[in-house]
Amino acid sequence: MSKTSAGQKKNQGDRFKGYRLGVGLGLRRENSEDLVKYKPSEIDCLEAAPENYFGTGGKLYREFLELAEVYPIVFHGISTSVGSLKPLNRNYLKEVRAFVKDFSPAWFSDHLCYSSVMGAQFHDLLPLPFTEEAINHVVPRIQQIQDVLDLPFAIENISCYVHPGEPEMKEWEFVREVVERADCGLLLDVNNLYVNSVNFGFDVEEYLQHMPMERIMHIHVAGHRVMDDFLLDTHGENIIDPVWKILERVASLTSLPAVIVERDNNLPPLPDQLAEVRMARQIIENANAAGVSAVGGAK
Amino acid sequence: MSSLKEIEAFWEKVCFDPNYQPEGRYQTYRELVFSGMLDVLQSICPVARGILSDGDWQQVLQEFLREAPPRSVVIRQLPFEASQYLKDHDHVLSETYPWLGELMEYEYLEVGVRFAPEVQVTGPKDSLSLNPAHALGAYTWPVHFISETRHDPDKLPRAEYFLFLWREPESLEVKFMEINPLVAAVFRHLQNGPLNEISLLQQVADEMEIEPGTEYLEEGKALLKGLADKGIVFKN
Ligand SMILES: [Fe+2]
Repeated sequence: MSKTSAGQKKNQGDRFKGYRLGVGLGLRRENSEDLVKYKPSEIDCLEAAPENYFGTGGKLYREFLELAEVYPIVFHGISTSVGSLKPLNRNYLKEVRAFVKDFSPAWFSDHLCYSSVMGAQFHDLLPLPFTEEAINHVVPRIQQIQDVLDLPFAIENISCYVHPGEPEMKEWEFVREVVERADCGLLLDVNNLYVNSVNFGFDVEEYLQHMPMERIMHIHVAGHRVMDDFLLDTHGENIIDPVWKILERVASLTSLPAVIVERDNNLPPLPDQLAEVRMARQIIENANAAGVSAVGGAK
Repeated sequence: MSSLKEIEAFWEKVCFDPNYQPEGRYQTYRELVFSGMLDVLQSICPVARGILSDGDWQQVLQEFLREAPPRSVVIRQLPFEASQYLKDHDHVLSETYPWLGELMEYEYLEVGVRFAPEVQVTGPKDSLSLNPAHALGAYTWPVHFISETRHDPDKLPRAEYFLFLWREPESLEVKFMEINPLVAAVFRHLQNGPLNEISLLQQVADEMEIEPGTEYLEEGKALLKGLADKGIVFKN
């Protein structure tokens, strides 16, 4: 698969589903060298954070370029901080745009949260209040991001342990209103969904029934850690059955342009990462066999 | 508390305010943000990370976050931003770890050079250019000797230390060497742009107030050849 074929823009009506990137893996410093060495055929695409690569050179950068020759790259950021009251960091967005354009990305994505507060940037994702005011704040910012990047944009549901402020609505309502009003895509992280459903005791099926399935462009599957009285989203453990079950359910409801196994830390050897990619593919192929064209992929 | 303004200010208190004790799961968020930063320090500044206890780091980072909030979206820049704050200010642990800012900067430089952008060097024929993937650090503490067993400020010799780091063009490995003030002057002049061998050596002689006699020029040429062999200086 060439990187251009994956990035071709489709017609408007097909904005969210007109891509077939397939099943892939999050590219990390820890797996980069092995991916270059083995270029595993289990993977259709790789997901990368542009902020790790723009303005750099050296070994990791060259590995990235080599991988981008082989796999389409799905770009996924952590720094837009759509929730913050500070103006969007336009320099960052321009850097992203300048960097990603060489790789014909199909879309860009980031999280529905704060990743900076009062202008101080950090790398954790803090939840927004589920309020009308927050929706009205976030929606035009997402539109600005799409304008500056000149790319479709998908926003990701985050995991959380508190609901700051007094929620005016349920999580599904908040996420749905944001994507509908911003008219953007949804990156559904099924691990985050599971973690929140346990931490706040809501029903995953209810959440999915209310989510606009036609907007799902991108899926994350990941692991979490079980603490004494809550689930901590680490993206650093093996993926557990209930999370695979949610993937299976979503795949039975809609087609999935990209499914990424996302491991942020505590990475096992590459074969174990690939086993989870194979598992994701298996689940999606079963859904296909059941009549839903869930994912095209390159294979 | 429900307005976005209140909530963002609250998150700031939760994450960065040492005089506020977050409750319940908010404490989890404080710990996550703090441990995320410690992880970054572990990978970029492992020596400094190992010398200071978690409690020490909490104090230092809280002061840094409050006084000079990190602006960069690039995670590996955080220790650099912290090092600049700690170098330029008296901080909460200045007495115990007066070398902290310099050590963190020095440790960061290795990563900075490892990730330095790949720039094509050009210059007039036969001129010399400095390998663009380099860093020149000037320190008052022997940061390259500081370790978990050797960091007592009273026992560390204060002096002027010049440390040079560069990325080898072939292996892409980062190397470092301690250099004397004369070699540091050579690098500083080349940092301004390409120069031919003789004008470079003359400019350095002027700055260092050395008579540019035959012996000096011969030694200077030998030095430059050695630097070229190491992939530090390129001949255009
Ligand atoms: Fe995710």
